[in-house]
Amino acid sequence: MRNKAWGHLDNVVLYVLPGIMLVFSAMGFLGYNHGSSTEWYVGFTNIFCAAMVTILPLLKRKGWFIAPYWLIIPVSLNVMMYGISLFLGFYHYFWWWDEFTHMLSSMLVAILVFIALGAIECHTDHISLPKPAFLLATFLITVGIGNAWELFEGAVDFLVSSNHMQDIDAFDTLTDTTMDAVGALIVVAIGAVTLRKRRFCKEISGMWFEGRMAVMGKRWDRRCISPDDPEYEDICEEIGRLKD
Amino acid sequence: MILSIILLVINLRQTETITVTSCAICIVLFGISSYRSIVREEHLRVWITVVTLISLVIGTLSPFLGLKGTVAAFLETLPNIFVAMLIIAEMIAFMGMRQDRMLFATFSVFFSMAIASFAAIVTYVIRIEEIRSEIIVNNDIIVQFGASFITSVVVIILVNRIMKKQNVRLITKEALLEGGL
Repeated sequence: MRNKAWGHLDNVVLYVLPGIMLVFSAMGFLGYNHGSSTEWYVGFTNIFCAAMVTILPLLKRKGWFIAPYWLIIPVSLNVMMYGISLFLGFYHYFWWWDEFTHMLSSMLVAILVFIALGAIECHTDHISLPKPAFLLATFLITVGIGNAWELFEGAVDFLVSSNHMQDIDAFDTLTDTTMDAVGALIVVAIGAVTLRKRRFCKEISGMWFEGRMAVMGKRWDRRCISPDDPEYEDICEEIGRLKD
Repeated sequence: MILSIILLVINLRQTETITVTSCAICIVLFGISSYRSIVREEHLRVWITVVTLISLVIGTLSPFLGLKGTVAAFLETLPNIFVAMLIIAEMIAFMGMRQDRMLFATFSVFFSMAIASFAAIVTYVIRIEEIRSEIIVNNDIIVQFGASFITSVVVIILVNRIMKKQNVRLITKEALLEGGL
């Protein structure tokens, strides 16, 4: 069942954008792609991108995470940019394109990590992420996700038996990793200047997953204490109340 | 701290950039711990400190044992997860962070992957000539990332089991400074 926040633009994001990616995927499999990447690599990457683009709208449709448009659209366009530019051979024709997209993606991932950690911090009592720890964790987790991306690229390369990633010089992965760290650092620096807990928690509440997050936060708190603790029963009661 | 400085020097001479990165982070972490223990008499009493040093020694010794390829990659990236846990332990002890087991495990794996990335950046800086002459290829870096990820997941599953057996629900500053873990 759709929630009240669902609009026409969400339909575009859920159906049109993945559709475009699937068209590029099909064209990739048919060999219409440019640059040095193989047809299989381009085809599978675009399918993966199409699946990625649907995640945020599907979460919104279910009402589990109602992300605002300022988050959904840049994330979707960023994922699409990766697949389409791979198809058009931008990575082959422009040396700076790879670095630029990595930095941009890393910044978006850092924002998502920032929101996720903020949601935990704002909704739990027992878990605590003070500002320096919060910023350091955002930076390291974002760089870690960048590392996971490189692993994913290597795995796709291995699965489709393409030697695109394996035999090229190591500069590709090393510069990507460096740009991931730079992107994460920029967001953390902006976060360090602008982060004020109260306002940030208000911003998180505006994302309309407040109810679920409140229950999740209390459940998380319950996991942090022993069932013998007198507070345990109080938290159970509060979870019941919040659910109602 | 002294041991990690010695290991750093050995690894720098061997240009083992993965272990160099872990050693460098450990020097900073042990430096913070030492400073705190002098100024505030706060001692980080945690088994991860010892295990991290042992893993650093193993990582340093692996080239001397003539190990190469994937096995060497696993041994050299083994310290990453322990260094990651040490970072989290210091964040809990000295920044006042509080975490449950699940968040600890998640942070540990991501931090370990981030350390693998930093090691790659250090490789970029130190061994640029070997990259230019294609002695180091992209596949070597990807194998190291993969080895780091696999060891991290295995170690964190084991650590999580131990913590579950000990009924650790919340990791706090007090527990880490008073030896409760």
